Amino acid sequence: MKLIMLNILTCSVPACGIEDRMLELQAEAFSDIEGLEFVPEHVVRFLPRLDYPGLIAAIQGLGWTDVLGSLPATLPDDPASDEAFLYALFNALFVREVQTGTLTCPGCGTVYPITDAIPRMLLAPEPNQ
Amino acid sequence: MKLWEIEEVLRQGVPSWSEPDVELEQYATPPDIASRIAFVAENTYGDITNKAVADLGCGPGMLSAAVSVFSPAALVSLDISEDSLDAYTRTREALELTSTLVHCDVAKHCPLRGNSVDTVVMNPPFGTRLAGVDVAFLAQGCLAATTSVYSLHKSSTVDHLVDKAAKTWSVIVSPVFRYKFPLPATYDFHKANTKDIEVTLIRCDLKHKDQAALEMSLAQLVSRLGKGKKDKKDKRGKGKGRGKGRGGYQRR
Repeated sequence: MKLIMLNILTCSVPACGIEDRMLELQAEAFSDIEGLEFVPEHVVRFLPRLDYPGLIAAIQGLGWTDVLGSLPATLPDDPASDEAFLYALFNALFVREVQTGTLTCPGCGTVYPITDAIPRMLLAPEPNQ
Repeated sequence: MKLWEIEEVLRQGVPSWSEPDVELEQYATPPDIASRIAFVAENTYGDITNKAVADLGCGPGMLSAAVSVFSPAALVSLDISEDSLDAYTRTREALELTSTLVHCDVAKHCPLRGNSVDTVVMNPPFGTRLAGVDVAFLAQGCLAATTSVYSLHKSSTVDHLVDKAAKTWSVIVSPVFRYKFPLPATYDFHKANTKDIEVTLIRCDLKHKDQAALEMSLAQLVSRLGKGKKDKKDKRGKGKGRGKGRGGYQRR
C-alpha cells in the first residue's frame, strides 16, 4: 500500500467519526518499486486533494527519515511548477509500498491489517447475520 | 496501443478464478469489453490518463489492467474475494501494474472517501444473486468519484437506473454501448454452453451530483440488500468449473 492511499481511504465502519482525518499507518515491512517512471502530471493531479500536513505527520510517524528529509515542512507556494518538489513528493506517495503493517482509525479505533501490500478492510459480520 | 493489442495483452496476462463463487456473481469481464471500456473512457471523455481511478469489484483485474494501459495518475482496485485478489496479484506481477489492491466489501462498507478519485470504472455484480447490489455499487461509485462512473448493467435495468439517478441523485446516466455479454457455462447447473446477456455500458456524469442524497440512498439500499422478489434460496455456493470454461473465460 502506497502513501497516496492515505488520501483516498477512510474507515469502513459507517459513521465512525473519522471525518476527514487520515487513517494512522504503521509499517513493519516496506519496499520501494524499482524503475517507476516519474510522471509529474500524476503528482499534480493529487495536489488539490492532498492533506500535506497530514502526510508529513504520517511519514514522521513511520520514521522514514530518508523520505522526510527531501520534503519541506509546508507546501511550497507554487507546487505544480516546482519539479524538484514534485519529484520528492512522487517518491513519498508512489514509490514506497508498505508490505506489512496496520491502518488504525482515529475515530473508532478499528485496526485493519496490511498483508502482502493489501489493506484488509472487511468488517467482521454482525452478530445477528 | 491499438484496441486489439490491448485485448491481446489482457487475454494473455489476466488469469481467472480457479473456482468462481456463484453468490458473488464472479465471471470474467471479456478482454474485448474491458479494453473497449477503457478506450472509450479515455479517448472520448479523457477520464483515465493522469486521473485518479478506482475499480470497484475488480476480480482478477481485467478492467484494471485495461485502464492501466492509459496511464492513470493512480489506480485503486477493490474486491471482497480473497481469490480475486490472489488472481489480481498474479496479473499485477505479469503485467507490471502499479495499482493498489484493497480487500473490502464495496456494496456495504466501501472505504473510499467521498470525492477521492476522478473516475470509477466497474463491472459490478448484476443483482441476480443479491438483489439491489448493482444499484448499491453504482451509488458507491458515484460517491467516490468527482467526474464520472463507467459501469456495466443488465440492459433491462438501465431505464430504471437513468430515472432513479436523475431524480434521486442528480446524476445523468447515459448508455454508451450495448453488448451481448457471453457468460460461459461456469457452473455445473448451467444447461447451455454459453448464454448471452444483454448488457449496457453506462456513463454517469457527476457534475451536479447530490452527495447528501447519495449517502441517504446508499443507507437505504444497503439495508434492503437481498430482500425482495429476487430472494434466491439456492444454496449451491461455490461452483465447480466445467472443463476448460473453468473460471469464466476460455483462453484461446
